[in-house]
Amino acid sequence: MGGVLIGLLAAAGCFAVIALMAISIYNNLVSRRNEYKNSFAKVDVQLKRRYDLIPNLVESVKGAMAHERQTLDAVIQARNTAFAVSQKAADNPGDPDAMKKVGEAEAVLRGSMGRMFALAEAYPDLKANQNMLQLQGELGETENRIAMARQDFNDKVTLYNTSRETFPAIAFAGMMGFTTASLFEIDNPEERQNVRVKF
Amino acid sequence: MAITWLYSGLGTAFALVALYFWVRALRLRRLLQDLPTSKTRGVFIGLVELKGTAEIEAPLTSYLAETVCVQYSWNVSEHWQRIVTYTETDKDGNTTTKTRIESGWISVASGGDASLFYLQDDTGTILIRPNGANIEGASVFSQNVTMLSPLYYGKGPGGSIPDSTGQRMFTETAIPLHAPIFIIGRARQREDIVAPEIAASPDAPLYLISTRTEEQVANGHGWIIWLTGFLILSLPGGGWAIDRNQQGTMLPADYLPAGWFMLGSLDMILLAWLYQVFNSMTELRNRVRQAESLVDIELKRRNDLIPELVRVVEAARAHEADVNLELAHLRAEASAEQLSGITGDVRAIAEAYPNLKANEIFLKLQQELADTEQRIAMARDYRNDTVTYANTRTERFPEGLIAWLAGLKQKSLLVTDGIERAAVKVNLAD
Repeated sequence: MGGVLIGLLAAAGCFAVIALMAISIYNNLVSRRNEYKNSFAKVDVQLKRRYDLIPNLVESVKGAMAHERQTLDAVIQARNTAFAVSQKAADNPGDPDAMKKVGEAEAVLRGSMGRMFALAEAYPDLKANQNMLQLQGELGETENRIAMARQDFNDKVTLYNTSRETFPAIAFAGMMGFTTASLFEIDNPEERQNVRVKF
Repeated sequence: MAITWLYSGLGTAFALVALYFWVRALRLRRLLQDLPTSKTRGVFIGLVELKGTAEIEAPLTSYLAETVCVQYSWNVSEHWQRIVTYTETDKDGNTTTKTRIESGWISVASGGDASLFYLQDDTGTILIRPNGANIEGASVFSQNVTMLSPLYYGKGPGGSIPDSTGQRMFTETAIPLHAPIFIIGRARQREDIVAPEIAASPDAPLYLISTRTEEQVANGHGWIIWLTGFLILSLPGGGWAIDRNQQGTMLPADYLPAGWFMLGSLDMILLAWLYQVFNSMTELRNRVRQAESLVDIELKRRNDLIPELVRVVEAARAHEADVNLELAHLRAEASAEQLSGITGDVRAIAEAYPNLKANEIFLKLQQELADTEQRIAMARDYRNDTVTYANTRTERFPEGLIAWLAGLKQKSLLVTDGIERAAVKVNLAD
């Protein structure tokens, strides 16, 4: 009788230990799974950042280029007008109307030149180029951020997979419904090929 | 006299503790052997191993040796000695008074400091946060002094401990500036800039910053494996022999059953070995996969980045051509015409207009191309290193048999096609 009781107690003790171990393994795997899911979301955050940021940067660079060209165009046009008007005035000296037009054309020319100087002074090194350099830098940094987020995702997936595939968790993980998680992989094999730079 | 199991039980308990340290040392040694050394530029998020020198902008000065360093830790111990008197009653009931001398060292003061520093290798630097790391500094100071030494109270605390002999031991370890160091730890993303850093993490099996070499660290674990292995084998059987011995003198042949205890110990070691080798190989298999994916990440980065940069360069080139054309017009016409006053100003614009520097944008593209290819090369190197370690494991005996259980398979290394091996001819003529 006493022997049976001791046997039952021992069995209950063993069961309790195994149950506690299974619970701790379950909890550990749950947090690891949520960690890699969170890391996946972080990759998405970086992709979204790229999607939102780069088109706007490109637009601003386009704007800077257009502004630079327009300012220069304005100078050339104003100069052409001033030249034509002064030619007319030279043919017809004494015509007060022609002289007045020369004055007006010169005022427009001075105005456009002022803007040109302002542009050159605001960006002593360069204008649109500065913007483009910044765009290039941001493109590189954005891709670095994405690469790093993907590395983090891979790391968390590996931690999870290793946890579920090693002892003692390997004995329980399958039963508990923890399946293998996949690492980052390029879907389209062409994207693995080298990029040929061609101008 | 009844059979006692006291020493057998104690021996087995200590053997189990030794087994824990045996498994742990086995795990760490295998990790050290299976983890390739990364370059600082090739560090990825995860567990990495690095070798380089300790560098810092504003170095610390250690307390005792006054060494220029990035981390130091010092300790002062004081020696004590006392005579203890005790009484002993022998089996006849006679009481005798005896004395014995006890002595020892007590730590009376300690301290240290560690600051964020950089590990530098031939490709660059990476930030190291030593907080929470197991730091193995080099010994930079060790002196045993008496009260006569100015050091005694100069750098040690005032007063003395009970039974002090007036002897103090001053020791200090440090990671000196520019010292070669070996690090195993987890890299994570820095918060200030887009770069990785090494910091403590609960997921890391170890975070080690050592002035020892990788080989010395691995050998240290090797010694622990041998030592604890010996303890596991000898303690249970030895305990049993002591138990039996207390029951009276026995013939040498009576100790033979101790062999059964050793056999039991051997079984424990074998089981623990199977357990740890299986786990280590599973971990290695997953690290191989991670390394393969790392190459994909870098290829994807190239695929996404380079075409965009090329487009920027193209746009810059077109824009430069446009603006230069207009400036040339302006210059030519300015010198041809005789417009009063204004001519000078127009010419001034044409001359003062800053040089367009599409050049810089080209340079940036070249830089990024080289950087991208280096990142890919480092990822491939890392992948090949990991695969090589895994292949070696699968080919070794007897662990190769467990590799099959753990799903660790032979993989081929990434090598180039024949044509890519030839030297590249630079052809600038179009």
